Amino acid sequence: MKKTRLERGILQALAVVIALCSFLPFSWVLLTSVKSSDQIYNTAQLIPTSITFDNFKQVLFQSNFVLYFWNSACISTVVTAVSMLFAVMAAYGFCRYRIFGAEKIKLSILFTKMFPGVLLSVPYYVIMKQMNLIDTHLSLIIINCSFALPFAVWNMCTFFLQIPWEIEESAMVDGCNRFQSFIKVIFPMAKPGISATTLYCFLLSWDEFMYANTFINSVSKKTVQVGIRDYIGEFSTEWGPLMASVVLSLVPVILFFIVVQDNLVGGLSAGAVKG
Amino acid sequence: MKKWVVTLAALTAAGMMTGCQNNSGQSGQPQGSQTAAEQTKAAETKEETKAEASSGEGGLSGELYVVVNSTMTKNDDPAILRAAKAFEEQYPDTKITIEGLSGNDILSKFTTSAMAGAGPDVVALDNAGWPIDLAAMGLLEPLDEQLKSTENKYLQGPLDSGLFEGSYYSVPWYYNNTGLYYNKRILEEIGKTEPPANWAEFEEDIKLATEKGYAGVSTRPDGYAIFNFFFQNENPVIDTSGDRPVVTVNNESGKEAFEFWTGLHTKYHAFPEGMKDASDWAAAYNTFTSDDCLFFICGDWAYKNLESSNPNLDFGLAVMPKGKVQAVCLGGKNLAININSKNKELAWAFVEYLTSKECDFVLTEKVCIAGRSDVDVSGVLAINPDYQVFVDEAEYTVPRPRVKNSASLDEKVADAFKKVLFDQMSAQEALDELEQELIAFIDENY
Amino acid sequence: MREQADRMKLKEYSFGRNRNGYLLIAPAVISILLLSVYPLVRGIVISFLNYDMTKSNGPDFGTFAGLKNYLVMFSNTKFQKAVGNSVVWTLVNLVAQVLLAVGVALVLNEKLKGRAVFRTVALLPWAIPSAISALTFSALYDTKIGIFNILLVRLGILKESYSFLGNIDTAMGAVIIANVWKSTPFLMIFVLAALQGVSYELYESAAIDGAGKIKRFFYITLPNIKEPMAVAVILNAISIFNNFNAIWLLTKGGPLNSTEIMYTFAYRQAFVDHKFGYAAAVSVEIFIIIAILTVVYIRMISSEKK
Repeated sequence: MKKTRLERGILQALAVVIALCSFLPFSWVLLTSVKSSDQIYNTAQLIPTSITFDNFKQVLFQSNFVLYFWNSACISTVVTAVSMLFAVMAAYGFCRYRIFGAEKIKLSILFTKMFPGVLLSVPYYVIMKQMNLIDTHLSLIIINCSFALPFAVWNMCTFFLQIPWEIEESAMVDGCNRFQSFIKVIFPMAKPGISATTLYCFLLSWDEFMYANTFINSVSKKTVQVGIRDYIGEFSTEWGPLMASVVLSLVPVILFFIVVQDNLVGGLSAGAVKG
Repeated sequence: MKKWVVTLAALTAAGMMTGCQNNSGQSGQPQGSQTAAEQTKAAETKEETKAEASSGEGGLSGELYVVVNSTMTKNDDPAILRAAKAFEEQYPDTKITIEGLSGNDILSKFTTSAMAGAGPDVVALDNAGWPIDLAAMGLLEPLDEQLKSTENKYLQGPLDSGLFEGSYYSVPWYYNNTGLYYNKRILEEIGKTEPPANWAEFEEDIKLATEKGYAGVSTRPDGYAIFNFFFQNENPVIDTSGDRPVVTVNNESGKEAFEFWTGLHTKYHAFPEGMKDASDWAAAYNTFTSDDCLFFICGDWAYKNLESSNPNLDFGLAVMPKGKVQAVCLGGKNLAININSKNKELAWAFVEYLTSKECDFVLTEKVCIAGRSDVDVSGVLAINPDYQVFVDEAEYTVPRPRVKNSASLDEKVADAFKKVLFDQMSAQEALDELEQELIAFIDENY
Repeated sequence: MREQADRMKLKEYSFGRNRNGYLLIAPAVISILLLSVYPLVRGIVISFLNYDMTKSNGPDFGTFAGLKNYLVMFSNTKFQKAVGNSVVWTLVNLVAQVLLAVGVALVLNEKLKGRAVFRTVALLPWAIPSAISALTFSALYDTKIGIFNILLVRLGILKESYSFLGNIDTAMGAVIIANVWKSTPFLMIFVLAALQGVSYELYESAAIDGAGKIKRFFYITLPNIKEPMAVAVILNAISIFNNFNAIWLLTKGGPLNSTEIMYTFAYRQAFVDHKFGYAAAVSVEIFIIIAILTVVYIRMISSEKK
């Protein structure tokens, strides 16, 4: 499995190309966020000659951004935690028990993701209204969970199917109960899949705009995605503060990425036995 | 397998029942209010009694939730919040909450929540057909009674933009007219001292500018600019004066207007490339602020943005060139009351207050002109003397065709223009197709 | 004999023995279905009703329309075009994303210097809100300040600036590129996660056997990640087919309907024309198309497994 130097070099170069491709469009966001407004409109100045943090100051201290940020963080965290708990439970149930019509149930879960969501906004609003949840974060938590869960369950199922379950049985023989053996043996092996799915749930909820805009009325309860829209007016866009708020809103996501990509290593390639 | 089918059927049946219940609520005549009444009766009772009790005493009380465009709520201390506060002080038992949303976010939020039997009490709507659509959907409260007793002298044109089946569903808040922005440097370069006064001069200026390698004219490629030329040629696009709308787009005057506008492309390639993907106004400004386009057609909102986009740009503002007659396309915002509002008396009181002389400072601060005949424009002109152009245009401003789903009409007109712009067909072919589409559109909707 | 087998099977599937299993799946399944059934059923019901909201006080409103909504839509040429565009949009996106995702995941699965940084950066597009990625790409495609135009004109490939999003020939390509950029990381991270399930020892023994790199990829890596990949692909296909923002925020389906997919068409019917009946009919068609493709695809995978 040793690689020649040339191969290493090529791989490293490829990685750089990949990083550039995904970073270049983002660099425009980043550059705009540190430009002053006359630099932004100066088309000759793609790269700013001087850097200003005024946009960031404006976003942080002269707007409700911090509040929006906090709201979004709370909602997304709860959504992620609840969805992952439910998804892991369900996936374990589907994989380790004989559920009558398991495939059919899984399919019907997936069916709910196939109907175009934009047209469901009115009935969802009716549901939330009847539960008296309009203008509450709970409404967004519930709706985002129900959106994240179908994919999350499916993903967890496929990752669980990869796992050699004899390991769990041997752990149980060693005196662990089912829960203990899951935590001690299965969880570490399923970590890459769980990490990826966690990220999916978090981003889905973090990025949701339509329902956050429709369900929430109070300024103090708005989310980041709705808050960012303050800078996109009907007749003009405030590029500087807009991009600064985007960069700021990416901070928790990037932190999340760092943690997740770290946990992607593991699983079977870490050296467990493949059944 | 069987069991699964049974389960699904049961679930479906359960859903059908809830679904049907709801449908029956929504299909009734004054449907919005009925749904609202049915669905939130229990929760409401307390508030209702409170409202009734206090209105019996003659004072106003209760809570009001108002959604306006975010241009009004920006800045540190927006005037509209100060106005709302003054209102609350005048009626101590009231609480006004104001939310600012941008452009279409208002429309989608209001439509969704009002269709579900809830939503903001008062909403600011673009007079480009929104009030008529929402009135036709049964989501707005008719305001005929209130208009009889009000002292506000609303302008007829903007007021009519909320007229549906003989009733008024909104009142003008502020309005604007289309203006012709021109690049002073390029105008000088082609040897002109004055902006064009009529179509012939307009065309000649564009011809000269394109010969020098400049773009002739830019705007957002939707129906807005095109309507101006139809109106200036005494063509209403769709005539709504009778019982049933009549498509007039392809008669003599319509042909002339459409051929004049599209001819700017076929004869001079007058439109800049960047205009093709200018799906919002912010993108459209760039085609003009890059200092290589002679004219820009837009309403008053462009002024400030053109200035800030390129401080070095030397531009002027003129009235739209005259065709057979002088005419421009009306824009602006109206205020309307949600049919589901639980406190319509208070809602109207606030709407009346916000559109009265007392609150003109809210609009002046944003350099907007109130939609009343007794408005004092000196405040606006003190901020920007060029706005005299829009004031002058006020006497001949024309609202868009008063048809349901006018956003769809707008798209169809814009698409006809694009067919010529992309050299797919001649102006006459595009216009013939447009006429057919519009006739089908009227048949479908009326 | 068969009866006995059935009884055996029933016993194996019996509620008593699998009670915990049912309890485990209950929260997820119930919460998904509970929230979705009413909106879905309402959507389906409306597709069979006269539901032109701007005729809400007319005599027909809310009455049974039979298949009228479906028939009107089928005969609409713009709808037919939208179906074609949906196919192009989904297929090109899917193929491009799958190839890129596997490629990128394979590279980033190697032990590189600064791998953590590369992985984080590669995921970045996914974290950019849809509205912002749309604004970013319209700036990149811009005729004046857009980097693509500046480069192409400077390199002499284009004579003068060209509006990629504004011209019929290039608009679809331009929105697809923007979406591939934004959505590939989603697939990539699942491929990357799936790659962790491939045992290292398998590679080592294959290397000892003298299998080349390409052989190793096709005989070891691919078979091992095929199953999780297959699921990720179907989930991805569903989200591409129903990706509204990627198109609406950039072109609104234009110019001249050249980027109009079924979803944006349905949205237009509902929120521009207020024909909720038509919109529901198109939605049901979208639903049926995806459902059939999914079921066929899943059958294919599971029959291959056997």
